[in-house]
Amino acid sequence: MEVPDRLPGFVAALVIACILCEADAVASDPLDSPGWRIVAEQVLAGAPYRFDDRVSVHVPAVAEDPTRVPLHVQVTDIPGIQRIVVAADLNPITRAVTLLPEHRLDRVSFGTQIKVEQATPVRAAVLDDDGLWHVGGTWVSAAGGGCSAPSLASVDPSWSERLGEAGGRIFRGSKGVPDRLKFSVVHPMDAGFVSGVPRLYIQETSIHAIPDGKRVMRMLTTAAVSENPVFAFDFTGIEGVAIQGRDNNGNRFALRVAATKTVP
Amino acid sequence: MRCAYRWGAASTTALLLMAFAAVTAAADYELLAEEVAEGVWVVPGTTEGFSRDNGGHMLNTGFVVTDEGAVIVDPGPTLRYGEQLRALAESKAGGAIARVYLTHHHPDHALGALAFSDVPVHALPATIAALERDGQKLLNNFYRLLGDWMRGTRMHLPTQSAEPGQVKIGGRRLQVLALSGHSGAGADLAILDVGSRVLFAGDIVFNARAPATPDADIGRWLTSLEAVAALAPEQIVPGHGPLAAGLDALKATRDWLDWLDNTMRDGASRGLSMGEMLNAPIPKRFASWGQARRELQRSVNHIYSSYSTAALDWN
Ligand SMILES: [Zn+2]
Repeated sequence: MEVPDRLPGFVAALVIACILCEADAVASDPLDSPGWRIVAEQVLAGAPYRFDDRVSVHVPAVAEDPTRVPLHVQVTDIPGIQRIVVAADLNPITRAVTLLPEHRLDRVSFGTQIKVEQATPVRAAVLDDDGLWHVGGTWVSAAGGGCSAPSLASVDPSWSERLGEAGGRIFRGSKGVPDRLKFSVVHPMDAGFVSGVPRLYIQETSIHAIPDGKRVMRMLTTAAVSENPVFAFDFTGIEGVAIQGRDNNGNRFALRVAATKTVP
Repeated sequence: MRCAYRWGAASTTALLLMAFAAVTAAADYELLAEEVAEGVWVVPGTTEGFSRDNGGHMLNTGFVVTDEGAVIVDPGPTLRYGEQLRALAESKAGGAIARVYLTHHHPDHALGALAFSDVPVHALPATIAALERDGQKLLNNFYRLLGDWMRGTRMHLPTQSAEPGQVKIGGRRLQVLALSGHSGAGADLAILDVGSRVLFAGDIVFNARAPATPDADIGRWLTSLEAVAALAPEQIVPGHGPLAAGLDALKATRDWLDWLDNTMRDGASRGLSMGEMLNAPIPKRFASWGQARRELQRSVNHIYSSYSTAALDWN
């Protein structure tokens, strides 16, 4: 088993329990996750998949703050990528992000932060033109158990006045390095699990090229993405972007990012 | 704290197994004190992180022997640690404890205070406020992390507000400093034994062990290091890592903080994601330090957002 030794025992126990009852379903998952079958059926919609080293996910060894786990997805040399999904097997909301580029890609570099409730595999899956999912991932361990964060980050009390404020920038890559778009939105991304707190999260974001206005990518998100989300993508050949998004309550945000600044 | 969904029977069984494992692992802290100057004792920890293996014994505590009894610097992570530290200090100080100082509110330093509930426990007002606000959460989290080592540990708040300046206790002069940057504004206490010029620096100084930043303000921290340097201590007892002569440990801490600050700024200026920052290269000179990658990854979570946010243009 590839379960790291720092994993809480209960996950190991779950893995064992699942091996006993579902031997075939977990046998092929390199992460030995009890949740993989759910991801395969629900997130990948039962479509064919393979585990693929060209898809890698970078997370910290231990989740310092389970409400804000940094992750970066790197995909290299897979032709015809038409969809990218980020999911965490053992989260109450499994799928965090879906990227829908308008043009087929052969590489992806994408970063954001997600919430985890406990130790879980974090997966990235990319769908190619032939309808095959290529899956990579890694375990992240939640230090004190997923319900409590070791670092006691306080929630920004002013978010409701600042809801939808957005910031962004295109960072010009040096020779041979792609440009990087990064943007962030002030938003609670609340899952609505606490009674009295409504579910409120950004659902859909569109990125359009400036000046021609053509859509470059759509991004679908769930409340598994962290509060005040930050998204970073590699891009090439774009002068600027117009970004528009909306949450499940109909609140909208918009942002224009022109690539005027250069890396100092 | 949210706990969105529950596991069924499997996790209950596993939790019982975990509890059993924790009980069997319970052990003595085996504390040893080293006299680093006449009447000044250090109880050295390791350069590890806290875990069920070490029961949180990864920090330096210590005490100064006076005619009125021992002055304790940090009661440590648990009631058991506090009790064992107390026994050790009493054995060197004729059986009495004069008072306790908390250097700051972080649980590895502060949660053992219950072992000293019958003597004055001094802390800076900002530290007391932090314990009142976060103490219970820190305590719960430490129970989860350390298991049986924590048995009997409860929150014991400081009884006295510490003020910066000199105090005379049992024929010894101590100088209390109110510093900032590791655990909060005005929340980091350091204490100098004026006679020997041994400085108990709390977590303002780390040595051969990467500094932890859960509440850090690096600018303030660097300013505090200058204030400490100006005192010209002969020896510094860092919060974590080996005692060092002169300013060596202080310079090591400053070196790491400068590097961390530059690394975060550089990453933000290139638009790197938090996930990419986790893998930032660590210079060779820090390679042998305890917890270097781990603390860098923690620091990415603690402080990178502010650099990243500042590097964006906001509407
Ligand atoms: Zn500390």
